[in-house]
Amino acid sequence: MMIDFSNALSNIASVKVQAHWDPIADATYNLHQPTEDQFVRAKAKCPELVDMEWEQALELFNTKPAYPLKDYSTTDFQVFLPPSTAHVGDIWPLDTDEILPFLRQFHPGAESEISVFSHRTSKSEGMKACLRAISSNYTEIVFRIHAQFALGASVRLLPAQFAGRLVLNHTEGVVVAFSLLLPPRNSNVDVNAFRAADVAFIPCMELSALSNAPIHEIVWESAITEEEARKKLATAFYKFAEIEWTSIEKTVELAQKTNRLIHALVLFGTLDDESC
Amino acid sequence: MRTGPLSSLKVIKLLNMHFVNVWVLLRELPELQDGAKGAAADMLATKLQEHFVYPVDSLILTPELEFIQHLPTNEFHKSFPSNERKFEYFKWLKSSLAPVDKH
Repeated sequence: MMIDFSNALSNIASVKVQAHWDPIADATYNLHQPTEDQFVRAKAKCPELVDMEWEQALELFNTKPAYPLKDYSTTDFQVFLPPSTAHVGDIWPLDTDEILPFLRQFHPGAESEISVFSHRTSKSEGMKACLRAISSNYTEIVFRIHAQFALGASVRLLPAQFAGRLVLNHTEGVVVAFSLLLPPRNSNVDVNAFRAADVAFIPCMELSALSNAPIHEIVWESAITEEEARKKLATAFYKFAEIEWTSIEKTVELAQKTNRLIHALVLFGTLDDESC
Repeated sequence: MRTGPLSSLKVIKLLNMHFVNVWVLLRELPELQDGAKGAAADMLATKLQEHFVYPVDSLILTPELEFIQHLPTNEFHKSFPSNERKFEYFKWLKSSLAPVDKH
């Protein structure tokens, strides 16, 4: 089954999207909560980069959404769809300029270009979507977004990724469900501030459409699992995602069963996202 | 690592064919050692903790959790320029397999 998505969301109805953004709950070096002494030392070292007072620095990390509730037009969500026709499993790039307004519901400093400093890990920029499922009336798209937030002149917050999902009724041209969230894995955000770096945990950072649609009742005619779609997206960002990674609880059993050696990476920061 | 050796097709192929691959966060090792994910994960985490060198390390163990060798990333980066790392990592993996191949 193939559908032309070029004008699939034409309905004029508005879509209310709520935002939730918790402050950092945990971090390795607590860079987001410098003591006054630590802050004064950082400022003395790099006055050009630390253009604020200690109280202002603390307030920067007291994060909350710029718009807790925002009205979007249905047509605003067209940016998540493929430019024309697509098959289940297809992946396409999203237009970063068109996606940023969604992220600016969190903070006006949302940026698609990743410019974190004082870190040696190469960053992977981009925003991509995958067609997960279709039926005669419905379509489900999952997407992955890499973006950063400039909270201040020398303060950047780089979420691990935003994992999103859009369900639409392509017959009626309406949004049925929409969510975009920072997976709540500890650690899930790279903090760059005052020429230092930290890895931290934000329990909840999410956009979600207010909707009561019974999505679980949709009978898909062609679909891949969400896990398969997420793996396809990860591989589109990272070549190393083609490595068959095993969870730690299954590693020893699988190694003994297949008589293969264990190749283990122990890391300070997460491997398969942008949080480190 | 992820844009270097772990993105090499030769390395990926070798890892998928001859190894069981796992990655774990350093900060998660203590809770794993407390049994958060079962006895086997506890034993593996303990062995990794025993040999790990900060901040990133690659370790090779037998299925019975005997330590074979490791490659601390900082040391690896100091020893080889970036254009040689894919080949060197491949060589290092192959050297782990050598005793197995002889059996």
